[in-house]
Amino acid sequence: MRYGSTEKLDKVALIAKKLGYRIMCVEGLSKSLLLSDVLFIPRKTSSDINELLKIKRNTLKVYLINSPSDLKSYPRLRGVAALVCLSCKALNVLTPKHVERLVALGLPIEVAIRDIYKALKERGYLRGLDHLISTVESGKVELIACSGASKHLELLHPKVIISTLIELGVDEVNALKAVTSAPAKVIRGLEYGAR
Amino acid sequence: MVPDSTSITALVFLSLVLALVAILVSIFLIVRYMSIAKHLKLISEALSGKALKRFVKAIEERKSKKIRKRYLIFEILIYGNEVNPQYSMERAKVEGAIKESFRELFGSLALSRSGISLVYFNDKDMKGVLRFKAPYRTKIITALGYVKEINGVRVIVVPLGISGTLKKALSKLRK
Repeated sequence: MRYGSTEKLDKVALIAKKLGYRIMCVEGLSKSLLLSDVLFIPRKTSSDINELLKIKRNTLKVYLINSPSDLKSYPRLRGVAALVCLSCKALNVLTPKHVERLVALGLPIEVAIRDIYKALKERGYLRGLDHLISTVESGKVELIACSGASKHLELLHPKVIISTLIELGVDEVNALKAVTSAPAKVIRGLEYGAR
Repeated sequence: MVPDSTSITALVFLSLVLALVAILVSIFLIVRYMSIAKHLKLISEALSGKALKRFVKAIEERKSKKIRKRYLIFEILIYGNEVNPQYSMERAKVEGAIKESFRELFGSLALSRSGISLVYFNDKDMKGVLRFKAPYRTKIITALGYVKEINGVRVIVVPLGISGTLKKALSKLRK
């Protein structure tokens, strides 16, 4: 879950368990929690590198890209953020040059399915997503897909996320990786271990 | 009897004419044979290439002519204080919401070709079975994620599994 959710976590845990999730990264948590057999890990999403530097170790640090200008200081991101997240706006405006910079970072790129749905509703051409998918297909970068929920009823089933990625042009193997092994690798890096 | 010089000349001339005719006939036969060979080559090429390809394609088409149907088992999750515990959903509203989200994502043409129909829905446990054509599997699952609300209530439609027959789908549903 993202963007400072105020939902009660027990409610979220029940739905997450029903949907088959075992680990969830939630904004606004101070420490990790285990509820209804679902592990909740604190997460901090920001476009400010200095803010991310202040965050303690066991929190998932995510660098949010809203516009191409957020990519100007990209070499400073190394060792600070665990992954890079593309916002709904960035999915529309990123060019191949920007995607190349993201590849040079060597960090996995996160895309929220709810953001894609939002962009589709606005009937925009997802130019940035198009370039990103072709880069993922060439194996240069790892893709992570999340539901991007800000409420418990906005969570998506993993099968829905995989199907959406396939429909967007990602092949089945990469789509499956985006929900399973790629996020697991990032979480293992936070010293939570594999569940 | 000794042949005279005129008869010898005539014989030589005759043999020359015969030789010429033989050469001409052989040339004609060679030309004819070549054209037959050319035709044979064309026929064999046609058999090996175009016709065979057409034949294989016809067999493949015959094989894949029937598009299989699939049955998707789903569950609707409604959580929150805004929902009355006695709340039940109408079957038509559920089918309408799923079809509408599919149409919004993939268009009317894909909707008509996908053959979506709600074949079973139990409003007590909020589970149902959706029939569709097999090639539209990922599209249907994507559309389920796109459903935000049914009858004004926020929901999550969870795909539980896909089955080849309605009987198996219903048995999975009751487990």
